[in-house]
Amino acid sequence: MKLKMKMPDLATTEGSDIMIQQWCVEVGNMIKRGQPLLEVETDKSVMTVESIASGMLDIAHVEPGDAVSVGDVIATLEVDQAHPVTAPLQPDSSTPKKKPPDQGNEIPVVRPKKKGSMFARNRMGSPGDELS
Amino acid sequence: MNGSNCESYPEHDSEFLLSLFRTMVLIREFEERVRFLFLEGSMPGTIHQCQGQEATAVGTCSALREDDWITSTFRGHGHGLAKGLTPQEMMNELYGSIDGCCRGKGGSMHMGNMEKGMVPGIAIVAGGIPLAAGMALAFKMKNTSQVVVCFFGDGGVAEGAFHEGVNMAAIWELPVIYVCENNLYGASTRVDKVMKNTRISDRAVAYGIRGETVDGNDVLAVNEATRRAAVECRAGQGPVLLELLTYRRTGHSRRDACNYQPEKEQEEWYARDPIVRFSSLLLEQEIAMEADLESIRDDVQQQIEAAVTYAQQAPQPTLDDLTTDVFA
Repeated sequence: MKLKMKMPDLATTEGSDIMIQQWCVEVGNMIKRGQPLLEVETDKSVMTVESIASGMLDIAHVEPGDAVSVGDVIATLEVDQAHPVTAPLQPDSSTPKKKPPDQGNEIPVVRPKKKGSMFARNRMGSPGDELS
Repeated sequence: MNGSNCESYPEHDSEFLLSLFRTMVLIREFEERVRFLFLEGSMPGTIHQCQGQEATAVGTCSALREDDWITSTFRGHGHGLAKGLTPQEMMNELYGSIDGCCRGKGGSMHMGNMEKGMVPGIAIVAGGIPLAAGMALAFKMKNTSQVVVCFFGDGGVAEGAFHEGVNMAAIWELPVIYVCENNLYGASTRVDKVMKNTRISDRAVAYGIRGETVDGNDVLAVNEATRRAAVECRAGQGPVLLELLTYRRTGHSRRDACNYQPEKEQEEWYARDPIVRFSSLLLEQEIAMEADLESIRDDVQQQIEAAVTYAQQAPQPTLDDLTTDVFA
């Protein structure tokens, strides 16, 4: 099914135009929900617009240099799920598939030796360790 | 003062540990769902989200009694869910419905529920600090043994209200736990650009109270520190200043591109993600199997989807509601 994506409300000043800078995906290519779709310049900064669904970029309705209003259709996505917008999020960072990499001794991962002593002690280092 | 006044901690059964995991996942999934509702244009206004900071809210609130209170900030979704507000009443609130926890008049920045011990979020930076001192004074005068946890960020420390509120709580030995969620940035400004000594807990010395810096991405360490602080407060030895080191995995608000967080710093902190770390611990300690955690995640996602479905058609205020629950 085809899904139209509108320009999110990213401008700080209400009603100000959002300038299209560049597409991060070419028409015909696949994109995942949450991945950068295009870069825009608002009245305050350059920002990334993330895709609201996983699928193929079917039509790019805007071009670099265009001034767009919030709510304008910017992209048509070809998605195969029946309810792409409400589909559960793809597990990402919070999926415990693998252990996080070793973090040195700044803030150690809690690894109690046995059950029943789950509490970690406060192991922070001296002032400035964290922010040097 | 030091932290020698520890109670003996009860053994944590797996039910308690899994409840910590569930609430952290609930906060993450709630925030992610809201992020997409914003992108889809379904949810108006901006939002301040707390992805990456789940352990501060959950570790703290899980150490409190039901009749204890919290004050929150503009970044209050996590605090609300951790204090027992339901995703439904909060999602309703985000959609401006009269079924919301503030009858649609609070919105994202004033999340709260007085029946559940959460003052609606105070969006003024550090605004909750003197307010919490007042609440704690009431507890002390009524001799109730309740405590109040006051959340604020690293940016709040530079406000005059911090000095005034913490000092007053200190001289009157009030039962308030001042919890600074130090996520390294006040909006886009890094803490080391605005303070010489970036160890915020050191400031406790100036007020004659105990301060402690804790790994804010370790839910158990936060829980332990809060329990210790609560014991002291209930014993008339408050207040306590807790600094929880954490990191937000999102901009200051939805309209903030977050370009000021260096990539290397982001990678280092993402590797300390509180949910990933706690998952690893649960698996390692054989508290849960991967399938159990997935099942919790699925369950939470369904709960949030149901909340969105209802909230999107929940009743909106009428003209008559314009003059209710307001002073002027």
